[in-house]
Amino acid sequence: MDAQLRRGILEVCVLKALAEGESYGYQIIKDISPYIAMSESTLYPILKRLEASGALTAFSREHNGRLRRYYAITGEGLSRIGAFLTEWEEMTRAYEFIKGVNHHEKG
Amino acid sequence: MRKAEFLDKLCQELRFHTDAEEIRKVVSFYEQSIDDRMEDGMSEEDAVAALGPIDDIVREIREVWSQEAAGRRTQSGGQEETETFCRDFDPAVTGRIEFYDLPADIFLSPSPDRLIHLEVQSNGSGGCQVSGGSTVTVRHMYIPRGKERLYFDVFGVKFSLPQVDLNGLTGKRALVKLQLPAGAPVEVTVKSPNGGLTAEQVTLGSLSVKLANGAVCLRGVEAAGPLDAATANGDMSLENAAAPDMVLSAANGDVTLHAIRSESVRLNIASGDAQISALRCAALSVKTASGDVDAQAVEVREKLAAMAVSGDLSLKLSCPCPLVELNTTSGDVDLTLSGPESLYSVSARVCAGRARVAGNAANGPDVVRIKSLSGDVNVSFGE
Repeated sequence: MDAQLRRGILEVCVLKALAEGESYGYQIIKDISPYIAMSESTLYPILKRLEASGALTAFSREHNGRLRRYYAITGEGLSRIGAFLTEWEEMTRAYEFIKGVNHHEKG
Repeated sequence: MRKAEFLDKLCQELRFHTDAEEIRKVVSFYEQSIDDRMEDGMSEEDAVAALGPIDDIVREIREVWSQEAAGRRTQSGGQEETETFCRDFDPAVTGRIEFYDLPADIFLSPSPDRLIHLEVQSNGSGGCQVSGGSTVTVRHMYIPRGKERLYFDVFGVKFSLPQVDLNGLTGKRALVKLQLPAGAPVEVTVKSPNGGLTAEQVTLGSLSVKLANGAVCLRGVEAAGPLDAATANGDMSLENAAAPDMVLSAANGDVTLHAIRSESVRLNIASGDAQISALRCAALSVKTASGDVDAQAVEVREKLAAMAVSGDLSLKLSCPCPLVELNTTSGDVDLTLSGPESLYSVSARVCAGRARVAGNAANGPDVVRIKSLSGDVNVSFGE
């Protein structure tokens, strides 16, 4: 798959993982991994980019005697999820077509 | 691997980056992941292993930093700081380092530890990815037309550094520093259109240098294999150098050789002069067009051959040589042989010049043949 495309999709996955509430690195990976492969090396640059573009904010909070970095989605981030779902509706139809499942009768 | 070891190693690999705070953030990110996995029930070893190989991690991080820097650069309009890219190689794995098409000055020096250290400096910031194997190749360093970036790739992966002087390549270039561990037989090849090579106090497997516009300067260099150095426009200077086989060429530059040990030395010069002293070898062959050759305290054990067109040959041998063949067109020959005349059979044939051979050396076992068209020939005997 095109690297850019993959990264774009993973970015929206990370936003979705934050959509229900703030989260942290390892938890985000646990949430996404059942659906699509994600590791720290992939996650770190995505978090950086999303923060730089205002789709999430980052802050530190104490957890069990150490500092843990948390991420929270912004309004901008939520609207990105919406935009992705709209754009990809057409993609899913194309996928079904290629796979060979007919949802509509012709004629 | 344990957590502390992993984090240490990660820190080490990232230490080249100029922003210490950023390095801290990245390392902290990975530390937290390990801690979270351990909290989830994983063992320390498993938690570390789950992160994957450090090389992959470092590669991704470098990619992120380089993209950020590129973005910053277009925004700020080109404020440069010098940035350095470092990569270490294990000589047990990497036996060859090659530089091709490199407009850079290259410096070879000893490594402080057992690793090979490669460092590239340029102004500004840029991205890099390096991976190592048995051969590390740095090639195709070039500046695309209309761009202000210097590109090269190492081992098939591209480096890109901004801001090299665009007015030809004679301005600031990149600087490449290569540190080699003592006793490791690394083979180094350099082919550069614009840049010099300097090596000090290094031992190498072999050295092959071909420069178009740059000087070669070797001090205290020892090669286990062949040492080939050629420069079109630049001087060549070797001091305290040893290699079983040496081929040295300078088209437009002067050559200075001092304290050289070898089996076979071949020297080719065109318009520059050659100054040789304290050279010890089995066979010495010198070819020059118009440059003069001055050789003092030269010990050639088996064969000395020298050819000049208009350059003069002034050779003083400090040990008996069984075969000496000198040939000039218009250049003069001044030869001082070592040992008594009785050792030698000297024949000096001149056409338009004057030949003078001291004493009567006609029956010795060591053969000396000198021929000159219009040059003068003078042969004498020293200690």
